[in-house]
Amino acid sequence: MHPITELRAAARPFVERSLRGPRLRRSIALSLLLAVITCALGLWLALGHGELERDVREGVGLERSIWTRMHEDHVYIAHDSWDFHEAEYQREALLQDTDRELATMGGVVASMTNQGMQTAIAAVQVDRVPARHAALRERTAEALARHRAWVGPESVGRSYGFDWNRPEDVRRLAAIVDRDFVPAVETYASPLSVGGAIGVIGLLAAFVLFALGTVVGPVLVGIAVAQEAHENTLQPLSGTSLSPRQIALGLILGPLAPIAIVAAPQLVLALAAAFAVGHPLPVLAFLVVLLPCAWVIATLAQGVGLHAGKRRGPGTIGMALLALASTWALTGVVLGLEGRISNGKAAAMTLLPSGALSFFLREAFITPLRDVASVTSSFDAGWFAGRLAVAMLACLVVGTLALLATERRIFGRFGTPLLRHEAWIGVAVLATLTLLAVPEAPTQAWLATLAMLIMPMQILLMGRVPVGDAPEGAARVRTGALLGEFASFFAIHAVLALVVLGAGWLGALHPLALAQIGWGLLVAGLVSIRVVALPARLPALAWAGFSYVVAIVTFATGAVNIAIASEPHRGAGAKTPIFVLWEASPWLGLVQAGLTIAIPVLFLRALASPARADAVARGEA
Amino acid sequence: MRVELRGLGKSYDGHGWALRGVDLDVTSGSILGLIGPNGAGKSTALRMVATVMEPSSGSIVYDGSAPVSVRDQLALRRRIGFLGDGNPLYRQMTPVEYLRFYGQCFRMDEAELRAAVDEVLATFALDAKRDTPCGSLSKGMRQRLLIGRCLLHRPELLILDEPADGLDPRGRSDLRKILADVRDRGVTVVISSHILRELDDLCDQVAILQRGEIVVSGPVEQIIDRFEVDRFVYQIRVLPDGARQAPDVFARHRALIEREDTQDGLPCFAVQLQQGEAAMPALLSALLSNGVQVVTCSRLRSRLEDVYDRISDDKVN
Repeated sequence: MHPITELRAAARPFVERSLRGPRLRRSIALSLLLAVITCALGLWLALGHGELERDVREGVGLERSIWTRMHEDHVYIAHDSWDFHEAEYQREALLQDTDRELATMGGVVASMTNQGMQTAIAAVQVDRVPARHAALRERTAEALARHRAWVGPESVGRSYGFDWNRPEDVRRLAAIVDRDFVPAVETYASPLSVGGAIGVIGLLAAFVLFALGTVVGPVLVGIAVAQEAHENTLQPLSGTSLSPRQIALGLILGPLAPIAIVAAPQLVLALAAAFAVGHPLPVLAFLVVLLPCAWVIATLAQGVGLHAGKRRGPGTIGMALLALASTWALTGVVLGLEGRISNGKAAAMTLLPSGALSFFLREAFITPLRDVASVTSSFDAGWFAGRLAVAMLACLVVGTLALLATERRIFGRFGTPLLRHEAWIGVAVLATLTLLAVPEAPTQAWLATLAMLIMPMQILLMGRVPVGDAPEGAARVRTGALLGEFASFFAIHAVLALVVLGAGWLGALHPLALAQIGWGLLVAGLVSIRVVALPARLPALAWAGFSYVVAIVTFATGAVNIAIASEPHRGAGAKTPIFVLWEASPWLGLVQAGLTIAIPVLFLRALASPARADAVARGEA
Repeated sequence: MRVELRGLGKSYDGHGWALRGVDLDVTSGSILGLIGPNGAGKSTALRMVATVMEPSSGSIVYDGSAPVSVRDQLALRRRIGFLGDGNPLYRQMTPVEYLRFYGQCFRMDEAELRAAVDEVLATFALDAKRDTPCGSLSKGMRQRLLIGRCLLHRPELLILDEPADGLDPRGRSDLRKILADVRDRGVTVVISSHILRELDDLCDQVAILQRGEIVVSGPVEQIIDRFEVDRFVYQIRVLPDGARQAPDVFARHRALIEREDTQDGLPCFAVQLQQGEAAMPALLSALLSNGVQVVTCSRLRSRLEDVYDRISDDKVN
């Protein structure tokens, strides 16, 4: 049967279930209400004169602060009509009284005029003026000559610096000279026009899409699957005509159906606004990145819901997923919206695509609407686009692997959630992404990417541990084979590091550091196998957690040793500690040495124990 | 649909067998009852027949062919209705929504599905509750809904694991009628239960499972006849005056009293003769000579429950 037909067959029961009864009408009503709220909120935030709206506009960079505007534009911004009339009165008085020193006059207008003149005097006192600003300097000098009487001879330009190479200084000076030193007086108003308001509406709509796609939708998927697992309602589905894959897909599509209805008007608003402000491409890029991100988070949330739902309630799982997804999204928002974009930040955005999502929205709706020159960014856009494409590929691959693992575990049948080649593909994609994204020197890049990949590789290893109702002879954990596969993950990373980074990092390796790193990875692998294969009892989990901390410390020690050895003035022969606790006390060093032997031995014994078979028989594994 | 189980086995832990060497032949349009204590392997066997669990050994043949691929299994499931153990229901869904959901999972088209939902609701007397959330239904109603769900897509093979759980006597009686109707439509039914009276006169054949192996299987009548050979139970009704002396006479003639009650106002004894039918004339004569006036005397045919008890006892012994 055609894949589309298969997908429709999978979606039909689950989507109709999600939209049954009044739910469809409620979803449509909610989508319309949310669209109205988005428009109203956007108009209010864009055009409102209140303090809150102003703070928001300033916060996202759509407006300069009042002080900055007064300073750069040489304008006095009145807070209300009384303030406006008072300032106007002062301005008229100043223009009438051209022979008196400003210092003897009171009022904010005279003060600002004086500041403007001091800036102008400082500017003309600079000896070397770039040729492109010669005309402005000439105009400044002429204006000063006209109004020399306003400034006392003893305070000329004393405390004011001026740099003709700073665009902000030049813009301020031009404004001062244009206004003949006397500031304009205006009542405060939003700098955004109706066009700007449309942009703000588009920005809000796109952020709603961002939240629905990467937080709300995946959390609902996780909760729905957790509820099914918790109430054991998946079991009857196993006897229907839908394959496990169709059921897994249906369990994603069902909860997402109301989300899609709510998101549809927001998508229209975002696209319409993008075309209205003339920057549709970043919004299209946003959508291209959003879909793989939503896919990977939804499939991972589904996996978490299925695995944890048997032991925890859907509410608890929902809260945990919400916390994780929100953290992911908010970190990206901060990363993508704040400050200038450097190569380092661009690299972080490829590893944390929520940052790229925010960045595209900033480019679509904020940068064109700024009432100052854009924050200059210095990064290679082509480099960023290439890495981001790899990141999206990684999202699609990891999401697909998560779906495969879910469909194999959905009815609790015996087997490994992932096949060996699938785990290898996952490792290769993630290793390639990290190696391409981390803009460090080869040795540091190899170490950093290795550290980043430990947890993803542990998860992939967990996917290789067979679980479920075990056929004859399959209940025993093949620890050696699994550890071999774990080692192959790091071998893949090493080969890719040679391809991407070259062989430069090999020179920094030395046996002791490699042994420390290897031991840390061995224990990390054993902890992963143990967590999946044996029953989750509190003392055993506490021991696994402690062992994991020791493994990470040992790994970090090895990494530091390699980093030290890679420093040019130290070289590979640099003295490095074997047991880091030895530096604190020989006794602690002995304890660490003992743990180095005891931890792997105890894990291997536990995994070889017949208790494992009993655990499987009791359905605890 | 004809179902053949050939050397079917299942091991969960790689050491012990939950089911081993099961051979059964369920003819098309018949009802097979699987009987056995808890943990005997009934649910495991039913799950494998329903294709939701892979056998560790052996095979299952449906109408002469065994499914070899996942696609075959999915196609086969459209011909199977399976009610597993436990009663998971979506509590917020109404019976109509629940049945529609499962009908769509069986890829029924819209017109067929609407008609089938109405028919199931009518058959299982759930019409009045069609829009009530399942969480508000009584246990019996929920069980009826679950069974109805299995019949929704008109399966050729119906597999029910303990379907009478939660049903009141009326519900059980209705279930028997429904299953008989289903069989009359040519549907093969495989049913498990530990309440043997449910299966006694309903099943065409039974298989008794103990410790994962079939102890006995075949048509109900044949099994009863087979185990009737050395089991002679008679119902003897006497006049009230002789009721006190009768037990002593039974004891002297090694007639074991299985049950003692009253029928039509007269004391009634169900006695098992240890020495067989030949001892009956002597017993009757002794009763009369001891002043016990016998009104009626008839041989009781064993029930499935008796056979099961006997086999179980043998096993324990």
